[in-house]
This record gives sequence, C-alpha cells and structure tokens, in this order.
Amino acid sequence: MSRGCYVSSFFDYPDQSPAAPAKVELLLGDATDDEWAVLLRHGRDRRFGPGDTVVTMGSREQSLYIVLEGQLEVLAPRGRRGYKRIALVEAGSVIGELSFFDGGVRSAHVRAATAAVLAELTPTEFDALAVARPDLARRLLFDLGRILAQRLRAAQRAPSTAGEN
Amino acid sequence: MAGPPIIEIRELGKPVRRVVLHHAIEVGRECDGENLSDDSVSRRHLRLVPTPVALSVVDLGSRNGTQVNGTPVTGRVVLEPGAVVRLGSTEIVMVGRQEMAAAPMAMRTMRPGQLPALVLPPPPPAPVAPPPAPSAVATLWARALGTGPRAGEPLFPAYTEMRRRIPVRAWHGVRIASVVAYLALCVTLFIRPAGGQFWFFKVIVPLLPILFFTAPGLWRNICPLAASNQAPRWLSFTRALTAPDWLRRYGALISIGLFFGITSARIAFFNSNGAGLSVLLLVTIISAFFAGIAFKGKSGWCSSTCPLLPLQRVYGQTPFVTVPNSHCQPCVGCTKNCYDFRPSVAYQADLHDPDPDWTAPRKLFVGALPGYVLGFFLLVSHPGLALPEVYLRLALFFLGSVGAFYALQALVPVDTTVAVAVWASAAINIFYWFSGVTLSGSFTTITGVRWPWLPWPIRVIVAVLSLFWIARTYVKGRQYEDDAASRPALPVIQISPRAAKVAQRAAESDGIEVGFAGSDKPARAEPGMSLLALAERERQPIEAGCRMGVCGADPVAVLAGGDCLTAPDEDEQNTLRRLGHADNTRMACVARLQSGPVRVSLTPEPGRPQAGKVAHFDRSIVSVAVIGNGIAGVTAADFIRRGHPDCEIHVVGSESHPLYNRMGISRLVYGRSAMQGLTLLPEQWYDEHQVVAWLNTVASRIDLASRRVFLATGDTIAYDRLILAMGSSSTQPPVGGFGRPGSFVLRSAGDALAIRAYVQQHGAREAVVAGGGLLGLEAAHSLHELGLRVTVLERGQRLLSRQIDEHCSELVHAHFARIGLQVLYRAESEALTGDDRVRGVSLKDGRTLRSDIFLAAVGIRPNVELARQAGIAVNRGVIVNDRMETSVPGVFAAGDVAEHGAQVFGLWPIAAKQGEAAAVNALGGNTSLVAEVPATILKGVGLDLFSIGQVAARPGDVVVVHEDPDPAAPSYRRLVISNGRAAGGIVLGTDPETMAAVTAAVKSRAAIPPPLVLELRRGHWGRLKDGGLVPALP
Repeated sequence: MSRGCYVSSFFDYPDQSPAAPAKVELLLGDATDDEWAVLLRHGRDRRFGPGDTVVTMGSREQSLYIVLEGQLEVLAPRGRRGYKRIALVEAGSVIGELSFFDGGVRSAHVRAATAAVLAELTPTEFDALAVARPDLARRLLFDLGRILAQRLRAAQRAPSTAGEN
Repeated sequence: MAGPPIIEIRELGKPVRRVVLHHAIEVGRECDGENLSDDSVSRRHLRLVPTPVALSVVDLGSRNGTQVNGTPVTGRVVLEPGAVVRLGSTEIVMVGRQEMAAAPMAMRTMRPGQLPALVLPPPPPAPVAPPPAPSAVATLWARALGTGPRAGEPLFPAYTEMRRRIPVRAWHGVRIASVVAYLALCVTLFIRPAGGQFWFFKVIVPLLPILFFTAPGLWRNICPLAASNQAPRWLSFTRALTAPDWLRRYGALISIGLFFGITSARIAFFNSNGAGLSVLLLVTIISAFFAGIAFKGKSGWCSSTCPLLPLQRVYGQTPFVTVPNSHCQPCVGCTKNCYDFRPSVAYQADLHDPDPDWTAPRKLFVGALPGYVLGFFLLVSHPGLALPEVYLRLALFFLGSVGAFYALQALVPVDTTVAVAVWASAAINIFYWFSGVTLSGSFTTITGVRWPWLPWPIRVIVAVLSLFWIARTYVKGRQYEDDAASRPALPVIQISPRAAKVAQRAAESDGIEVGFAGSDKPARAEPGMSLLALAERERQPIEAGCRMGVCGADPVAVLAGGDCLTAPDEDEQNTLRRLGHADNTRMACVARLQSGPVRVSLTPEPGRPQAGKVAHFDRSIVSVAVIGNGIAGVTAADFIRRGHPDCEIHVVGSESHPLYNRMGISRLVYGRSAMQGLTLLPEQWYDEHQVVAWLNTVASRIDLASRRVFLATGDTIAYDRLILAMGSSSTQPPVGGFGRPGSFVLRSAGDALAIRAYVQQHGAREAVVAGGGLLGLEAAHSLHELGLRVTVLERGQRLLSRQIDEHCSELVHAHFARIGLQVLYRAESEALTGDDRVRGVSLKDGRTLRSDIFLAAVGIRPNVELARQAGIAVNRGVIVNDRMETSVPGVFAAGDVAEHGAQVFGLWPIAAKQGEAAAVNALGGNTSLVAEVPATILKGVGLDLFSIGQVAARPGDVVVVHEDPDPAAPSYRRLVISNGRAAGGIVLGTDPETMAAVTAAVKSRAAIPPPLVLELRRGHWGRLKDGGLVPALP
C-alpha cells in the first residue's frame, strides 16, 4: 500500500458485464480534432530516447506533458540509492499536472521507457492559449480540476465498487 | 543510412544542448520551437528545416540577422556538417546526422566517426540515470519457489488461460455426487447423530483447511454448496440479477461474521446436537441454492457470503495446485477481484485495493484467526466454565490475536502480504496441532489401526508446507506489486485516443504554415493539402463548390507565398479569368500547398477595372435577356457586361435568391445556417454590373419573331440577344401519390428548406430516398445527418453504376452501411401510402417500407418547355452547337438546359464554361467548346469520391487498381488505360494529388507506357504527375 494504489487490470472480465469497463475520465473528452490541434500548437513537441529523463524529482519546472507516443516510467526512490518503477505511463496520458498547478517540486522521476514524443505546455504557453482561445483554456482547466477533484475523492474514500462501475 | 540531423545549441551562460531535428523547428526568444534567453535574438529568429538530404536554415526576418560560418544569411542556406550558425551571441552547430539503426538512442550512441572534425564539448549528462527496476531478485526467487509463470501461461493466469486437465462435463458428475453425499450426511445426522457428527467434525472439517491450503480450486469445483448455488445457472433458471451494492460492499463482512458465528456455535450447540447440525447444513445449502436463483454468476453465495469463503481466500492465495474453475462457462464478471477468475492474484488484489473498506475486514479476519483457533480448541471442552465465560474468553483470544497482528505491523516494517501469510500460517499450524490428534483418532476409528505417533507427521508436514507457503506468498506479493506497478494505474489523466492521434499527426507533420487574414494564429497544413481543405479544417468561413477549380465558389487572395502553391491548371485559369478578381486570386479547392509560409485572405481583391479593355463592342446590341439565374445565366450576364459596357442586361430567375451554390444545398437540410453561407453573389452585384434582376419571376413565353420575352407578371423584355439558362428540374418519378405532403425532390434551395421544415413540423423519423446516384446519396446523407433513418432504393444492382466500377461500389456501400444508411437494391418504388401525407412506400416487389418522407432523386430533366413552345429545336435539352447557339440565330443556351454534343451534362463546372461561351458568342465573339470528359465528385458524405471518364474496361484496355483496405478510411484508386492512354479514373479517399494527376492524365488522354503501368501497379501513383508524361525508366 505504501507504494501507491494499484488499480490493476487483472480483473477486467471478458464479457460486457457492468463490472468490466472501468470508467476513465478523459481530459477534454469532448474536444474536436481542431481544438486539439490548436491546443497542441500552443505547446511544443519534445522527443526523448529510451532512458532519457523527462522529469526530475524535486525539480521546479511547471510544464504539463501529454504523452503522444511511447511509454514513460514513473520511478520512486527505493532504499537508499535505488529506484523502483511505480507506474508505466502510456501514450494518451497526461503527466505533470500537480506541478503545473501548484508550482511545487516534481514528486517523482519520469523517464522514457521507449522512444517517446511528448507535447509540453508551459504555464506561459497556457497563458498564450488562454488569450487566443479562452473557451478552450477554460475547459482545459475545468477538466483538469474535475479529474483532480475526482482523484482526491477517490483517495479520501475509494468506493469499493471502483472496479465495478 | 543518414537519419535526422542533430544540432547543438550553444547559448551563453547555459549548458550546451543537442536537439535531434525530426521536423522543422523555429529558434527564437518566444517561438514555437527552441527558445533562447539571448536578448539579441529576435522572438522568431530563424527556422531550421531538415530534409532527408540536407538541413537548411531560413532567417525569419530577424532584427540582428543570422550568419552561417560568418556569412549573413539571405534566403535559404544549406548547412554542411560542422557549419556554425550564429544568431546574436548564440551559436548553433550542425553536428551530424543520427544513425538510423540506432535512432531511438538519440545522440548517446553516435559514433565518433560521424562527428565533424570539430572538437565539441560532450553533451550535458542526463540529470538522473536511475537503475532499472529491480525485479531480478523476485524472478530468481520465483524460479526457486515455483511461483514463476508456467510455460505457456501468464504470470497470474485467468481460469480461461489455464490448462484444463479434467473436462467441465466430468466436474458436473462429481458435483452431483457431492450434493448427494451432503444430503446423505444431513439425513444421517438425524437418524444416527453420533455417526454423522463423527464424519462431519472428525473427518471432513479437519481435512478442509489443508485442502484449501494445497488445492483450493479442487474444493471450489466439488463443493456441494457451490453445486447447489450454481445449479440454477447450469439449468438456466437463474434470474441473474446484479448483486446489490450492499451485498458487494458487505459480503465479506457477512461471510466473516457467519464463519465466526457458526464455528463458535459449535461449542454451545452443534457439537452436541446432530439434528441441529443437520438443520444448519440444510439451511445453508438451501440458502446457497436460492442465492443462485436470484443473483448472477457466483455473486450471491460462493464469492460473497459463503461462510467458508474467507478461509478459502486466505489459504488459497498461493495454491500449490491450481485447478481451473469449472463453474463459470462463461465468466459473467459478477465479482470484484474474483477468486475463481484469477486465483493466484485475487487475494493480493484484495489486499492492495485502494479502498480501505475493502481491505479492512479481510485483514481483520486473518488477524483474528490464530487467536480464535487457539481459543476454540482450548475452550471447546470448557471444563467447569459457564457458557458466557467461555465466549468471553474466546473473544479475548480473538482480540489478542488481532491486536498482535496490528502491533506487529506498527512496530516492524513488515509487508502486509508477509504479515497476513505469517498469521494465516500460525492459524493453520495451531489448527493441525489439535486436529492432528483428531485425525489420528478418526484414522483409528475407521481403519482399526492404532498409530499413536500419527499426529506428529501431520503437524510437521503442515509446518514445512506453511513455511514454504509463506516464502511463496512473499514472492507472489512482490510479483504482484511489480506487475501492478507496470500496468497503467487508473489515476493518470488520459486524453482520448482520437486526440492522441491528432496530436501525433500534429507532431509528425512538418506542417506548412498558412496564415488566414483576420485570424491571429497561423494554421499548419500537410503538404499537398488544398487551401480549401485547410480552410474548412480551420473553420474559416469559406464556401465550397465543385472542388475542381471550375465553379468559382471559393476564390481567395494569396497575400504572400503564392509560389508555394501548385500552379493553376487550365480550368482554374479559365475560372479566374471569368471571376475577374485581382491577379493574386486562386481557387482554394485546387491551389495545393507545396511549401510555406503562405498567407491568404478569403476575400478576393477586386480586379483592375475592365472598362478600358473593351475597345470594340457591337453598339447595335441594346438589350440582352438571360433566362435563368443559375451559374450559367449569371456567368453569361457577367461576360455580357464585360464585353459590352452599356447594353441592358435582364436576368430572369424563378427562384427568389441571388446566385447561390447549388452544390451545397444539402447542407441546408441538416446544417444550422440558412442561405447566407450558400450565396455566391451579393445582392448588389446585379446593381454594380447594371444587370436588371428579375428574381422570383417566371418567363412565360418567348416570341422569336418580335424578339420579346413575356413574363408571367405581365412585363415584357425586348432583346437583341437571348441566352437560355433555365437549368433543369428533378425528374418526377412515376410513383403513385407522389406530390402529397412528405414527397420531395432536392434540386433547389427551396426544396432543401422545405424538407428541413417538414421534418421538424411532422417529427419525421424515417425517410426513403429513391435513387442511388450521386444526387440520391447526397440527399440520403443529408437526411441521415438530420437524424432520420434513411433507406436508399436503388433500381440497379449497385450504387453509382455510371460513375464507378463494381468493387468501388462495394466500398461505397460499405461506407454508407457503416454510417447507418440502408441501401436496397433492385428496389423500385410503386406508390406512396398514407392518405393525408406520406406514411410509407410500397415497392414493386411487394415490400412496404415505413417512411415519413419520400425523396426522389432519379435524375434531372432540362427545363425545355419555354424553348419548345417558342419553336427552338429541342431534343432532351435545347440543342446547341459548339458555340452554344441554338437553332435560332441570336438565341443561345447554356448550362443544364443545353444539349451539347448529344449530352446534357448537368454539371456546374460545365455550365459555367457554357455560360461564358454563350455570352462571348452572343456579343459576336467566337468561342468554341468541345464536349468534355465529365468528372464527378461525391463529397461531404463522409467519404471523398472522384470519378472521371471511362469506367468500364473494354476489351484490350488495361486497368490498374491500387487499394488500401483500411476499413475506417478506405482508399481505392483505379485507372483505365485504353490504347495506351489514360481514359478514365476513380479516386476514393482523400488524395488531392492523385485526383489532380488522374484528372490531368484523363483530360489530356496522356500516354501511359508499360513502365509507368508497372510503377502504378506498385502503388507509386505520384508518377502520374505531369499527366504521366514523365514515365519512370525501368
């Protein structure tokens, strides 16, 4: 338990029962292709080779990253010098949202497990987006806020039916 | 193999950094690429453009300029390896190219030989290089303890992934036997309580834990309670309800409570009361049975409230022998962390559940178990104790054990998995310490053999097994954590895969920058994209017409970067000339982007005044009448005005709208905007060009002798020249009842608006469209978009039989089927049913379809009545020669009403050309048209289809087909080569370059020599460019 919570996919049952699909909240799930294109144009692409560090634990940069291609490993310190992989982040995921909001230090190391392409959005770039497309920026913030709130709720009291809804 | 170029950015006071250029980037202080903090660098300073063969730099108009190896940059400069680009006080060095084979390893694996002869500082070390995740130890242990994945199975196999040694059918037999034995035991307990109790308490109960411990799956398959619970499912009379929330949530607590309650009641009651025990067992099996009737799968009993479940889950978590579940055929996903589904990992998943409500009762159970078992055996005979005191003492044992369990975890940083395993092992060892004696006694009773030492081997075997079990469980826990950690955890924020695809596309595409006037952020386009496609994607207010550069619906002004676009072809040049805008005008649909940046305004700039141009004109022509306000009529009026500055021009149109884009009317059916988007000419156009517009006016008669047109309003227009451009109407199908409310054609904006209004007014839900041609499919799609269930009736055996070949018809059919349109073949409508309005359609083959709307799209009919009555030669249309002259001198015809070369085209681009020719010739000019190779486009129905020229192959023709069978976005190309020359082509899918190449090749009947055919067969359709005139050499 000390290493984070695991909501594994061990119990994704084979049929279309109510227990099978875990409802995943998507960020900007209703955005059109064009809106995504606009959003991504405001950020920039970053490319990493396998093993390259993406985020250094304890650093103070504030970018939000969207993983476009490849896989990232999230590493937490283990023992005195070692690291343990605590999660594998797939393409289509968003990382860095905590520091993006609170400016606090990065809470884990993230490195590329494979060659990876990330879209990076710095707070400054977000501001530019907010000027150009206030509606989109507002929805992005609301969605991030909504997902963070859900996560907080889940952490406070994870429903025992988490895998069943 | 050279890969993408690598540059090194050396900025003052910053570590040197290297960047691999997979695509073009900008460099500047505040740009979309590499940002520098160098103040002498402009915000957008330069652009680095990599291609497979060269890396070049372009200065973006920076204030302080850019130098390459000391030379100021003007235009584009190619960077050799080692070249130094200086901007402000920053240097960018072209280091070399990435090795392709080692591409993902970035610059770290670059060989020294690849570096230029330039001493470079080493790249900055990566800030952190953590070691790989340490699963090696776990792997080693797993091998030693036999917990590793078995050959051919995943680490934690589901029952469906396990090897099944005993067929499911055999288990049914075993289960029937076990239920019979269970019932026999119940009966025995009544008749001979002592015997029954012996078998139950002294044989079965002492053996169950070791069975759970070693082969839990065996018990799950033979358990008589499970058999009774699953019987309703097996015999198909279960109601299969989803377990209510409380049952799922508190099932574990209920089963734990039942376990402790029933077992502790042994002391007071069941140990001494055979009938009572029998009743208990009967109640239990009946409860299991009814739970099976009510709830689906095993969610009512076996996996929720069964009193034995807690024991099975704890002791079965690391089975020595796995037996796949034989109940659930198939799995219905009824239970969270189902033991029967994935036995080796279910308990770990419970323990690691993020919900403390889920884990707490399970931990409590195992925490209490050793103390409870010990207390039970010490107190079961309770010599000299009152019953309440016995239970009080048992409770103390219970609490002491729980306390020690939590105290251990608080004091020693022990893994929960280990703590649980140790406690469970303690409990089972205590159990067999006492039960070893019981079993030994039972052995003697049954066999008559007396082995007083027998309890010891039992105790030792259990002890050794449990030590081994603890180690295995520990390894299993580590394996679970490693595996769970490597799976994506739910809380990571996800974007939709579609968005990721857009992102990928955006990331991959180099992107040609296109700025639209009035929009602040430039758009990025893929090479080959037309300005129209880009503008539509960017939601720019642009109108689309023929999409072939002919109709003139989408002129744009290219403000900068005109040479980055493809050159206009002849059609487009003609259109541009016809429109008469400024020289920087292009037709957005055919101007395709080759490079950038390009800047575009959607409002074309006015051309130079043309009054001065018209030096000679026929002053004897005072009045020109044009009947028809479509593209042919308006184009004719326009060209009359261009060629004659002061004659009267009358345009008579029966519709009430100024010229609009007829090809876009289907959008009026489903789109939210009304006419404004479709209007091609502003109302003042008529005034500006001194054209008298008679809109919403019907011409009733032409008098050739007196050269007058009589209008139905009573007015009369005298003309010197007459141009007929009445267009065509939809053919009225010979369907009984056609014309009653709900039956429509879709030809004019008015039709479209009426359909939309009708659908809303009557809440129409179903529509039948007669005709599987271009018009029919477009109409069907628009109704579908409006939310109706649409059925298309096609008389023939396939769709678009005149435009495309059979296979392509199948692809088009598949597309429409996918979006939900139904197409019936060899189906002809006979009559409409419904008295007041359309309620259904009966077909000639006897079928009847329910329908609120019947839309006929069975063809067009030129509006020739006026001409016929006047005595002008008419066949299907008004017959014209190559100069668009009718049989009567001074009378011309153009557009859909005209029959040219025995063809009525009914195509907008051709109508525009004919209108122009008619006007020019009416004023005394001499323009001849040749009957064209017709091209058709189907667009805006979710797929792009283009067809030109000959479709069917004749004997001796060569057909080249290339298909990409992606079901989501089918792509199909076909070229018919007749006598070595391109004769017809089909392009399905968005591929403007191939479309343009095929058009050019077919129109010019370009030679396609065999080597080029080969290239095409290999899929290299790019070779068709330049009309196939540049064949590839073998």
